[in-house]
Amino acid sequence: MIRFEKAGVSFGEFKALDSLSLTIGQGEFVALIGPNGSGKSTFIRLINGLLLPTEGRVTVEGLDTARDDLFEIRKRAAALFQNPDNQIVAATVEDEVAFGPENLMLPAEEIEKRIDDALSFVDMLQYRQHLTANLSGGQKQRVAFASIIAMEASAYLFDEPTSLIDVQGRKKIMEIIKRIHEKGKTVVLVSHFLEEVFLAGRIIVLHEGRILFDGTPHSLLHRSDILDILDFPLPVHLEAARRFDLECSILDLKNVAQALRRRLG
Amino acid sequence: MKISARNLSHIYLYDTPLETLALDGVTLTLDSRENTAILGQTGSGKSTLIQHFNGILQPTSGAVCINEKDINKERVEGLRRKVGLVFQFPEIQLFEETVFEDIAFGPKNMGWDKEKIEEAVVRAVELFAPELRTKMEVSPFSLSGGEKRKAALCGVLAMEPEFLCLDEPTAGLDPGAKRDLFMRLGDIHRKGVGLVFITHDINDAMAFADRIIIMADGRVALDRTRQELMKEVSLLGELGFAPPDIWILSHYVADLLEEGPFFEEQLFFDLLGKRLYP
Repeated sequence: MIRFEKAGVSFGEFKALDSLSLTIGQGEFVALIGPNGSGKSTFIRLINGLLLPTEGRVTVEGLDTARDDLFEIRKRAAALFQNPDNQIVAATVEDEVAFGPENLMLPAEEIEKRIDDALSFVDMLQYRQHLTANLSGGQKQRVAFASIIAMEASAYLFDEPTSLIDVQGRKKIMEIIKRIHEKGKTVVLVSHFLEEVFLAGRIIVLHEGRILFDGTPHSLLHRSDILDILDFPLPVHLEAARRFDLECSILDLKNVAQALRRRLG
Repeated sequence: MKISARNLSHIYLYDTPLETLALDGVTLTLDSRENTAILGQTGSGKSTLIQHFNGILQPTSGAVCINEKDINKERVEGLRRKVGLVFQFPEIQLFEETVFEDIAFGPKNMGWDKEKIEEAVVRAVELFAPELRTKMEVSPFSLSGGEKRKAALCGVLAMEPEFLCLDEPTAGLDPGAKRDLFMRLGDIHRKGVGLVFITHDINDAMAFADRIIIMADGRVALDRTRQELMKEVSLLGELGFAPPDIWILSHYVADLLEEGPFFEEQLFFDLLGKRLYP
């Protein structure tokens, strides 16, 4: 469980996050969206202690990010960022994935097993001995995913993981995120792609460091005031779901199309 | 203005054990009256192709011509300069102390006098990013991500190109900023500047371009106007591209609507509205 208790961050006069209080339960899939500078990345960095709150507190499974051992916190909440080139440190794929488990001081066989499992999970096992430098952007990002999956954390924090990846690569990354959630892990995803955000069970809209909206994708679709502030064009399937009030459990293109068939039929 | 590739091939690291064929006999002509999208998988030769258009890359064989003149043979003053090339993430190339100096860098290299440089910078900013007018004296590094990209584009536009070639101009932008950038590029195009842009997204290609080229293995695998491609959507599938989302969604219900699939959101929604709320 991740808990914000009146947590805020100020950089000098500037309030990046203003006294947020909320709880993210174990196994929730929460997506964060908001204009540039709304505090999304600050939010993620507060959870794993890359930033500490200048007011209030943030806890991960009861551990206070400002007081308790950050190593223990990051074991529980693993983060992945936009650019895999900034995150990949090892020369080969297997060394890269081994880096986290080695720091957890796991036995050698366990590390080997985790490398295999994590690379299979992201469909990169055949690249185990390849050089990381020779991979495409999408492949590098999948290796970065494997690296944090091998940590077997309970919560995963993703800060715009698909923003530098092409369309086909993005779909693969979103599949991986969905499967991580299906394993019972907590997922916090920052994205500016609405089609990705609407796959979450809960959406938080941040604006100027405050929570503007916190609810289900369905309820957000009908909040035109919030959508106007975001000023992002809705992907066509979400626009259809909004205009015709379509009921479907997951707001992806296929489900929306089926809901539309039901309405028309 | 016309840019032509004639049987253009490019081999990286030619005559070494690492040589790679990036372009394999490409022949095509782009007209400045067109707005063309180039799609293709990673490694299909898209960027290599457009980097030939102003002579940054030289053909291994074949030729690149502007208005029928071979840009690598004929020393025609300013021929290559008519083509502005914008790399992916152009903002990483910002380096001057002020936004003005950065935008002026290209014109300065053209050898223009001070007055002409100033005029060109002001014109580019007015044309493409008037909101930067008040930021000309600040450091480009203090701009937001979207502003940096617009400043970098102004730097290319200040050289007054007749043709603009852009490598994934909207990569990394949020959807609002992406729509905004495409609209600004559309305005530039309507003022007579030729446009060719690389994208990975068929939705963007179909929404913003009037000609679509798909590259595969260094060759032109498909070259159609938007109108033609709308009638031959199956060609996209053969090349590993899904049709645009609007087409897929309307295809799902085309039998029930007895119309479609559609490429225009408005047409589709209007028809749905009539059926669902008669």
